[in-house]
This record gives sequence, C-alpha cells and structure tokens, in this order.
Amino acid sequence: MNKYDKPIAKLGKRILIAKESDISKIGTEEAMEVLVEQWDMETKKLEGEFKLEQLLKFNPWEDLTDPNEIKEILIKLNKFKDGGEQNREMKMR
Amino acid sequence: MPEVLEKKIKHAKGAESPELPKKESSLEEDMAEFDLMLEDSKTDLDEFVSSGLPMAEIIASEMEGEVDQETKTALAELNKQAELARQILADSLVGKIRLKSADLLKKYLPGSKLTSLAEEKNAEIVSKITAERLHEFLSVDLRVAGLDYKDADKALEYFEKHKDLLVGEDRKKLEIEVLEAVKIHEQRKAEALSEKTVEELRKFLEFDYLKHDYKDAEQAADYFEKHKDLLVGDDRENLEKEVLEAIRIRKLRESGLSTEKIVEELEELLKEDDGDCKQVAKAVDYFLKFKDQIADEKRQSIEERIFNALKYHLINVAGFYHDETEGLLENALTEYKNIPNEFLKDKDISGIGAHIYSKMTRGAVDSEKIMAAFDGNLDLLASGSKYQNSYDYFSSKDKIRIVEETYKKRGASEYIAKYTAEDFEDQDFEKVLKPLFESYKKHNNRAILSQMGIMKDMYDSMPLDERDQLNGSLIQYNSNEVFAKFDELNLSEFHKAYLIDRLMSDQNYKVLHSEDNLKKLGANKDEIFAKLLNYDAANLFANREAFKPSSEQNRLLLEKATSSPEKLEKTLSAMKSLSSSTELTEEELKIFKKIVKKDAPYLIHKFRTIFKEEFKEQEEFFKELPSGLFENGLEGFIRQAVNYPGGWEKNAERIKALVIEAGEHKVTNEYFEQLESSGLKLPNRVLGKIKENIKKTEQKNLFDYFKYALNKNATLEQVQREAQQGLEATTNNADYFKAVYPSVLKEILAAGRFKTQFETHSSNGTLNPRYRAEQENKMFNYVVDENKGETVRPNYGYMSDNENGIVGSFDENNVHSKVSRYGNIHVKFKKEQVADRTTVTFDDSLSPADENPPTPSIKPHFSSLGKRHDPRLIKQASKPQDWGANYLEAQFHWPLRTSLIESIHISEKNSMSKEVMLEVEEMVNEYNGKNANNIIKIVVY
Repeated sequence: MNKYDKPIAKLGKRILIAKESDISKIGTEEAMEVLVEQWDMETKKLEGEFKLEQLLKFNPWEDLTDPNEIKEILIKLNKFKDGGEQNREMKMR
Repeated sequence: MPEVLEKKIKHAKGAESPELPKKESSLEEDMAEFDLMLEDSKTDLDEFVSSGLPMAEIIASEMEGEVDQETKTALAELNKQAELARQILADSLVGKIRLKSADLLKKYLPGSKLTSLAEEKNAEIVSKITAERLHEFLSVDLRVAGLDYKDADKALEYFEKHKDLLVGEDRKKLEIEVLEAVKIHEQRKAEALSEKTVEELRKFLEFDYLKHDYKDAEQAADYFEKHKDLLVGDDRENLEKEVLEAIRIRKLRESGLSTEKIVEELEELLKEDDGDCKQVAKAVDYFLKFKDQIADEKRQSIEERIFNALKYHLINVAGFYHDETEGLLENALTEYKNIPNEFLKDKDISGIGAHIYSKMTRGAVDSEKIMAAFDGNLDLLASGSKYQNSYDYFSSKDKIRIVEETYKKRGASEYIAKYTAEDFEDQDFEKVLKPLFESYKKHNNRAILSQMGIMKDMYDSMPLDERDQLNGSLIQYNSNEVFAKFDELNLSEFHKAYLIDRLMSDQNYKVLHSEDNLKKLGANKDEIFAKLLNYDAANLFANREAFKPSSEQNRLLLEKATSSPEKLEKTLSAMKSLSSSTELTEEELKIFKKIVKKDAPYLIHKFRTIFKEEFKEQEEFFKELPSGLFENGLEGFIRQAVNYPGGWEKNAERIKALVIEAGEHKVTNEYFEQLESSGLKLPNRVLGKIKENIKKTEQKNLFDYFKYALNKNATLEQVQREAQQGLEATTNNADYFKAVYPSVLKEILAAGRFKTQFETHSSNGTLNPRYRAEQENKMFNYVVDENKGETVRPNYGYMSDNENGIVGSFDENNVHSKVSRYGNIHVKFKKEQVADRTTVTFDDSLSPADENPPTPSIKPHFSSLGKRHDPRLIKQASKPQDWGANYLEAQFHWPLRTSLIESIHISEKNSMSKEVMLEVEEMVNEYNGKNANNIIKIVVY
C-alpha cells in the first residue's frame, strides 16, 4: 500500500476513513470487523465509528483514489481533530 | 491580448502573398519528371490494390453462415478501414499529379483556358496542403504534451503568409484555430512571467526576514506596485497580502519592541499552521533574537508557549494522519534541524521519538533524515520506548551514536535493548559496551539476558558476590528466560534451587517435566514430583513416564488427577494435547469411566478416543435407520444427537423419533411447495440459491432445533412451524424502507433509481468490494466479480412496522434510530410493488452471509434467523432490540426505481434541521413537478 492508498470514501459531505489498525482486514474474511470513522465535513463533526462493510452496503459511497483529494481531506480532518488530539498526544507522553 | 493579435494579423495582411515556387527547367525534363510521377503513382496504387489488404467483404460473403456476428462486424470494420486508406492514397496521388499539371500548364501555356481551369482546381489542392502544414504546427505539441501550443507563433506567421492560398472553409476554420492557439500560448507565457515576478518579490521578503526586520519591505512594496500587472490568477492577491504583512511588521519594529509587541508577533507566527514546522522555527529564531527585550516575568511562559508549539507540531506531523501526507514529516525534520541547540538544550522533548519511530517503520521518513535532524540531540530518539523495533531501521553505526550520546546525557535506559552482536563489532568496548552493561545491571536485568551473547565476557568477569546478587535478581523477575540461558549463566546451587521455586511459582511447570532438565538443575526427582503433584497434577499425569513414578506415587497422582470431574477434564485435555504416551491401565480407565458416567457424561463425546467407549445401543440404532439419511449428509447430526450428554440414557426413544423426523424436512418441504405458488418475482438464479442455502442452513442448525425440541418435549415440526409462523406474521405486518441522506436522495431523484456502492467504487481504489461481492454470491448467486453486474445488484434497506420507518427506541419527542447511520430520511416503498421481489434477514446479512441466509420477505424461512436469535422474541420489525438485532434487513432485487417510492418521512426529531427539511421538500416537489404520474408524498412527523 502506498502513501495515498489510505482508504477513504465520500458520500455527499460525508467522509469515511478506515481505522489504521483495521486497514489490512479490508476485503478479507475479516472485513466485517473493519471500523471506520464517519465525519461530516460540513459540521466538522465525528458522527461515530461504524462497520465499514455495512455502510458500503447501504449507500453508494464513492471510493476516492485521487491522492491530492485524499491529502486534502486528511489535512482537514487533522485540523478538526486538533483540540482532542493535542490533549491525547500530550497525555501519551 | 486581442490587440496584440489583431496587430499581428493586420500586419500580416499587409504583406505580399508569396508566389508558388518556380522551377527553372526544360520541357523535356519537366515532362520526363511528370511521366515518372505518373508511373510512380500508378505503381503505388497498383501495389496498394494488389497488396491484398483485407478484402474483408469478400471473406465475409464467402464465410456467410460460418462466422458469428462478432467476426462479421470485425470484418466489416476492417473493410471500411482498408477502403478509407485506399481512398486517401488515391486522393493524395491525384492531388500531386494535378498540382504538377497546373505548374506545367502555367509555365508552358500561360493565358490558355486550360491554365486558368487547372489553376482553379489547383487552388483547392494548395489550400489543402497549406492547411495540413498549419495543422502540423498546431497539433504536434497538442497531441504530445497537452495544450502547450508552443509553435503557435510560428503557426500564426505561416498562416499570415499563406492565408491567401487558403480557400473556402479552410481559411475561416484555420484562422480561428490559430488565434485560439496563440491566445493559449500567450496566457501560458503570462503565467510564467507572473511566477518569475513572484519569485523575485519573495527575495525581498524572505531574504531579510526577522534578522533585518523586514528592512526591504518598502522595496518589496515598490516592486509589487511596478510589477503587479504581470501577476495573474491568485498570485496578485496573495503577494499583496504578503507585502502588506511585511510592512506591518516593519512598522511595528520601528515603533520599538515592547513585550506585548513581541508576543503579538510571536502569536502571529505561531497561528499559521503550514504543516512543515517552518513557522515554529521562525518563532524560535525570533524569540532568541529578542528574548532580552521581553519582560522577565513573561519570558518563561512565552518560551514554553513556543516550545509546546514545536513539540505539538512535531508530534502532530508524525501523528495519526500525517504519515500519509507526503513530505510533511521530512520537511518538519529539516526545519527542526535548524532550530538552535541554544533553544533546545534544557528542554524535555521525550515523546517525540516515539512518534518519529512509528513513522520510520512505515517508511514515511528514513533514518538518515532523522539522524540529521536530531544531530546533537540523539538522546531524544531513545525516548521512543514503545517502538524499540524501529532501532532496527538505523545502521549499526547510527545505533552506537545514539547509545553514546544517550549515555553522555542521560545514562543508559531500559529502552535500548535491541542490539545484536554485529552492532558492537569494532566499537570501543570501554566507551560503549561496558557502560551499557553497567547500566543494564542497574536498571534492567532482563536486557542482559536477551543480550547474553554480547555480554557474556563481562558477566563472566564479574566478582562472584556481585554476580550472585545479579543472578538472584535475574531469577526473581525472569525465571523462564534464565532457564533458557541456563548454560550461559553460572548459577550457584542455592540459585538453582531458587530457580526451581520460581519456575513453579511462575507456573513454568513444563520445563520440569523432563529428566534431563531436572538433572541440569540438580533437582531431586521425588521432591519435584511431590511439588508438581500439588501444583499441576493434570500435566504430571500426562507426563508421568518422565518421572517413572513408584506405585505409591502413581496412586497419589491418580487420586489428584481425578479428584473431580473438572480435574479429570484437565487431565484428559493434557493427555490429548501432549499426545501423551501414558497408557491407561484397565483399572485406571474404569475409574475414569465411573466418574464420567456419574458426573460428567459430556466428557464421553469429547474424549471418545481416550475412552474407546463402544456405544452399542446407538450403533444398533444406526443400523435401523434408512441409508438415505446418511447419504443426505445427516450422519454428523445423528451422531451428535445420539451422543447428546445424558440424553440417550433417559430419552432414547424420543431421540430416535427426532432423528427420523429430521430426515423428513416436513416444514421446509411444505415451505418450498408454498413458495412455488407465492408469485415471487425473484430472478431464477437468486431463488435457486436461496433454496440451496435454506437446505444447507437447516441441516447445519439441525442439532440446535433437536436440542430445543428434546428439552421442550416437542417435535421438530412443532418447533419449526412455530418459528415459521412468527416470522411470517412479523414481515407481513411491516413496510419496506431505506434510510438515506439528503445528498443521496438528490442523486436518486435525478438518476431515477437507487445506486449501489458497486457502481461508485473505483477499480484501483482501496475499499475493496470483493468481500461484499463474495457474500452476495453466497447469498444470492450474484456474480462474484465485483466489476460485473453493478447496476443489477441488490439494494439494501430494512423493514419496520412503524408508519414512519423508525427502528429502535423512540417516543413522541425523541428518535434513536438504529438505521440513522445510513441516513435520516426514511424512504417508504410501495409495499404491493416491492414485497414480491425482496428478501430479508433478521439481522445484518453480512455476518456471515451463509449462517443466516436471506429468504423472501413475503415468506421468510426460519433458517433466516440463524443460530443467534430466538424466534419467539421476534414480534415487531420496528423493535429489533427485542431479539438482540440492529434491524430487520431487506434486500431489494431488480433495480430499485424512484417510481417505487411511496413517501419520504422526515423529522426534526431525527437529527434534521428545519433548513434541510425545507431543502428536501423542495427537492421532492421539484421531482413531483416533473413526474405527475408518480407523486412522492412528504410526511413530516
């Protein structure tokens, strides 16, 4: 998997991003365990963690492949996470 | 731009049209050349015809009736291409001949009628050739490198010179094309110029940044004013901001630097998050330069603020998402490298290392870059204790450098443990290895064990009393590892005994089950036996051969190993897992059987190989059964049924009856008959697969139905029929829904149907739809190739007996819908139109697909429940929590068109704002306006 193969899907203003630890399970027998974060890019809110396969089954999510678009989304998401993430990182130390 | 072009065109128009080239030659020479050309042309044409280019038409007619339609089409296409090629060749030859003829006529018969006629024709040919030449200029780069048009100027020049030669449409068409090309080219040139201007301007702004207080800001402003017309696109706006900012800072400086102003500037620098640490590095520079001017009481907090920003920035850049953003971390490290040690020297930035390491293991940044960035602060790299493996990504030389520096600054810590002997080859023993060993002794004994190969010399040369002390500590914390390194360690007798004790208390019994190991430890076999008897009788029994126990020891062991059914089970498991060579005596087997028969019949089946029990009665029963039962794959079930713990002894007759009944499949056979006449409109391949899955699942779950029936004193038919009736009532009382988001509804209404993710997935994407395709194949026989049949795959929704399609817990004011993750608009379908083409499962269908197979919604089969749910709890489709599921899932087959929608249900209670509700209403009203025969109702609840 190269740097831009971060699995991201888009549906209108919503984005799905696979949990890092589950990426290797995508498309395999363990696919049902893959969890994703669902973000509303408009309200900048995390809507929850769901099972990827179920979400894909019910809606026509668009599988993103353009590295620039993915990069842009990753940077935006990171900004949304800023507050909480910073605290978490500091605690880890 | 247009003025320039117009000028050019005007100028070109004024120029004289060049004449056709004249050739000084004699009539004989000209005619000879003409003849030659004619001859050549004929040969070319003849060769073309006789070259046998596919006479596809002929082949096709000869093969009529023998070739398929696809071949015929291919032949026809080939024929068309060949014809076209021949025509082009012929035209070109004739063109050349005409041109030559006209030249000759003009030369030798000026003023004749023939000449003017020939010239007229000639004009067309010349025009054509001119146009071709122009196209060459325009299209070569167009084809090769996109819209570059770098020859556009030449094309324009050529056009201007030769335009009088162009006749008819050629001139107009070419003129537009050429001017367009020039326009694009000019645009490109302007962009390049703009870029250069920006570059120049930046020099003013960046070169003297901070240190010279933007003293060139005014010059930058001048330059900007003079050159701003050259800036195009966003360049102008962005540069203007930058210049104004420089002037602002310049003025701020001029007015003197108060603490407040410095803080203000620092905050300005820090608020920019440019992703590569550049701003933070600038802030550090700024701070170091002006820190003396900051009021004492504020200095520390400002420094902390900058430092925290640096720390956070590096951590963040190396954090969760950033590893995928190319170059960010590398750029950050480059900037970090430039941060003066003066600023870093007393700071604790441990923690950063851990994040950096995690990126190394993923290849997001290489070790050289890290070494360069942390040069002088290498001890910080040792802070990533969580990522010890990352050290492997450093070269041996670098590892030693990190170690050395760490020792110098902090002394060895537990996190440096991942070295190999090669890493220390040719290294300074005194300087590196010895301090490392000393530190391990002090802090982390376990590391010595893992590095025994490297440390042995030092270990051996330790004073005895000191080594003994170390040994004691090693055994205390790492008995198993000490035992593994036993041969390399010099343990005293006392410590050997201590090691045995620790091995026991750490429950590492197995190493003591070996005569050799006991010898090695100098252990007394009988003593160890006595201890193990108390601690681990089960494994000891399975391994008793190793101890060659006396009869008294054996008696005690048997007693311990079988003192309760639980102990016996452990013993049997140990015997099984160790493939124990222990042979049971007849007496022992009797004792085992006695316990089992009395208190633990469940062990009979589990350890049948050990008991070698003969189930005579059951075997007799097998013989009575019709052979068909076994052929139908029920043998496994029958064996399970007759061996059902405690069952046979009490209920042999009932078990026999249930087994025979299982072979009849009464309820399912009746179900299949009813299905035939139910008017289902499912594709045949789907229906066939559903029936196959029902049979398979019923068989798979038969033992569960059997247990239930046996315990309830009911027949299989009663159990299955009860489940069947309950499920049918539930689905018949419910409606069909799908939850969607507003953005999706918009797409659906525009497209006229619901799409699936198979239609939007990208073949080179990473959300591999293979798993779902495989499940759909297992459930419905849909094609397993995810790139095929995208538009006819099932659409997924749910059923609910709530009028608004709510599922889960809800009251008048609140909705906690279990389907909200799929959207907050509930779309209800026309029941009479979708019921006969829909299948259902009573939980999510994907987990896994063949354990609870989907069956028709108008007639769900009890096997759709799988093993997980109790049919008696399934009453209301809107309350799946009653039976522990998330929703009663519906799979709609055949394309799901908007004409099947009855209504959409929206509510503020379901996370939807008034504005969005209005948008949705407008969307649906617009659709209704265009689809008068298919009005979708809007229900606000």
